[in-house]
Amino acid sequence: MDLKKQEDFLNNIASKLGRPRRSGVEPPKWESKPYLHLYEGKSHEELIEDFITNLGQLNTKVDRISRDQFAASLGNVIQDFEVRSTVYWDDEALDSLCLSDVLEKNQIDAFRWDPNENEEEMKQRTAHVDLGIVFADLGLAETGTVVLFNGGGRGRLVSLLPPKFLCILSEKDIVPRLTQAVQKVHERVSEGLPACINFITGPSRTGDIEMDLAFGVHGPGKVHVILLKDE
Amino acid sequence: MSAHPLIFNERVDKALADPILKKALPLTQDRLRGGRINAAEQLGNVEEWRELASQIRSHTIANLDSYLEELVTNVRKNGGHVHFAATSDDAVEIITGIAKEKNAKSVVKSKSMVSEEVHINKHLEDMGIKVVESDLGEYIIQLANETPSHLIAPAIHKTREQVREMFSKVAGRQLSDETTELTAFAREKLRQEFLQADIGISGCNFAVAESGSVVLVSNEGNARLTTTVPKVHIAMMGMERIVPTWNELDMVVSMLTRSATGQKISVYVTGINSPRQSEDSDGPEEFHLVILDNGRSNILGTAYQEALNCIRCGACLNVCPVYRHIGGHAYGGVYSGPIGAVLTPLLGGYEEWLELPYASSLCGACSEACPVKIPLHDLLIEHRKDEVEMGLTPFSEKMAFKGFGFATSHPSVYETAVKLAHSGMGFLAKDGVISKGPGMLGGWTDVRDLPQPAKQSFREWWKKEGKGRNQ
Ligand code: SF4
Repeated sequence: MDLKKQEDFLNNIASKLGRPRRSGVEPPKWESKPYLHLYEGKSHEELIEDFITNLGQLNTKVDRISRDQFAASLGNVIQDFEVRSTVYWDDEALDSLCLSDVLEKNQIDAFRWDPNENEEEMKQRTAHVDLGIVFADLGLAETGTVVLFNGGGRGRLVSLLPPKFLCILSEKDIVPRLTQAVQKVHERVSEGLPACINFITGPSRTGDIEMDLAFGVHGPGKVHVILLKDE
Repeated sequence: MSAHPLIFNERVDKALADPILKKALPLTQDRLRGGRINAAEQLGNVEEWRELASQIRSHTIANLDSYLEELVTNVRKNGGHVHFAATSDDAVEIITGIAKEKNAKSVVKSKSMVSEEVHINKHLEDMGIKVVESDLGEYIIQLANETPSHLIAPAIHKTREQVREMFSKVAGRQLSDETTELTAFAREKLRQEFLQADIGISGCNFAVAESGSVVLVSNEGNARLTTTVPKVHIAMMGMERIVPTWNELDMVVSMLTRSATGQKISVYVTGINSPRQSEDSDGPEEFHLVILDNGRSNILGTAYQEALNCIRCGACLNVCPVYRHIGGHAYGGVYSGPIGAVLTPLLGGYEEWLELPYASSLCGACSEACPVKIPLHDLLIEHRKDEVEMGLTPFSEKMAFKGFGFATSHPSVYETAVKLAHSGMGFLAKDGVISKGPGMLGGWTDVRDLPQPAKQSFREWWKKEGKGRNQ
């Protein structure tokens, strides 16, 4: 029944297009690459600077630090954002920064997004903490975007429900623009994508009341990025 | 297509008499249009972007059956459910069916024009289900019991004071008219709705065939909440909203956000690739994709096929001198502005939407602004020709033959067109030389027999001639 509907639907499209049904079409190789000039010839250092500048224009501070400065840097964010509670990803990259120890030293009420915990409780808790902390997979220089491949201990609510958001990113994962990011997603298709991929660029915003800009209407209204230098 | 209690003339009259619109429309248009022009200037080679985006869209539509088949195969492989809806009624049946099966009490929605097309809110409410729009602009107009008046800024016709009043009523206390306070109230209120909703209904900016993904573009984050918090997610997609692979997605998303608001990218671009997976403890357990035709297939293979390339950025609304005067509601359909004038008669039939192709000055600014190069004003002329051939003309026949619209002979509209065109030219100027084919006003002069604009205002002209067709 459903399949018949599908066949009718698709056959109708083919007939309106005035040709037999097509199947398995692949897109042509597009010759034009209009985005190239935006980053060609830029060094990685310049891309990193672009990333920082672009986020700066979106009310988002980026701290570029070496790993041994992490505790101090996080301490500053905690002060700036007046953080008392937080939820963070269950992620090796965060563990390698001894995140939970630093949070404990700062007397933060912190919990890990743990897929084995009671789901409803975690959701409620996440909805009530001050800050969500994640480690991004990629950064896009042209836009100041961070890319998150969610899944398992990398819960998608962590970057969404709390009013403030801290994203940690390694410098080496900064690429020029969306072009490189979608290429990486494209390459992962055959092994299966996670349920959700987020591209996040600065704080949640709206202009729906007389075009007056306001932050944080649904997603986090304050965002901070800690960028780890390559060592 | 859509219930519009007033006839076209009455809707235009009403809009022209509205002092709020008179202030809000130019403000919104200028802000959004300025953003787009800046973004285009930053690119430097926007014509190359438009060309590629247009090729991608045309290729996809020309092979729509194949890409849709690939999409739904992958959605199913990823554990999602697929529903094909040939008509609006089919879509309603599918979605109310899911709601019934899930015994849903409440639904949250993120912005979806397709859902407006099928009036899903009304049908769900008739079943006793609470439906809450979560986009701030949509929430405002839902409280006001109205429909969106702009693709990107649905509530531009509402003032801060009106918002304050409506929100205060919901809150049960007096709120100030500060944007931050009003926004904070909406966050709190809508967050409660999200946490208790049984179903989230979203639109679909683009589906990606190669991976069975639905991609949503938003600034507020409500689309993320809608597709993450409730146990069931239904995405409603117009059948043409698809790209072959993630690589093509790059181009259309880049063009969409730059053309809509001038942002290089929106705050959130979210790829939903499947329902939650075994190791996840958030995200919906069920994912349904509803693919809607509702008249779109009738456009395939006709002179109007390119209208299906539309990525709903709203750029054509923001440059249109007619939209500037009458706003979105006067068009009467779900889609307004130049794209609405092209699309609505195609989806809803000439009989009901006879005047819409005349809601244009044919100045060509829309075609010049369109990021996927839809020749909007040519398609409007095509409509007028078709109407004449069918013996259907809304205004006097002489006017129709001359390619006259209700706007072509009035200075205020003409001047707006010229002004918009001039300020839009900046980004096309390279090395001090304006390098482009037919000028912004090309479309205007291309139309044969166009008289010089008379020394008369749009309002005056409308009074005298615009209402030529007495009902
Ligand atoms: S017709 Fe073009 S300009 Fe208008 S909304 Fe569609 S894509 Fe944007």
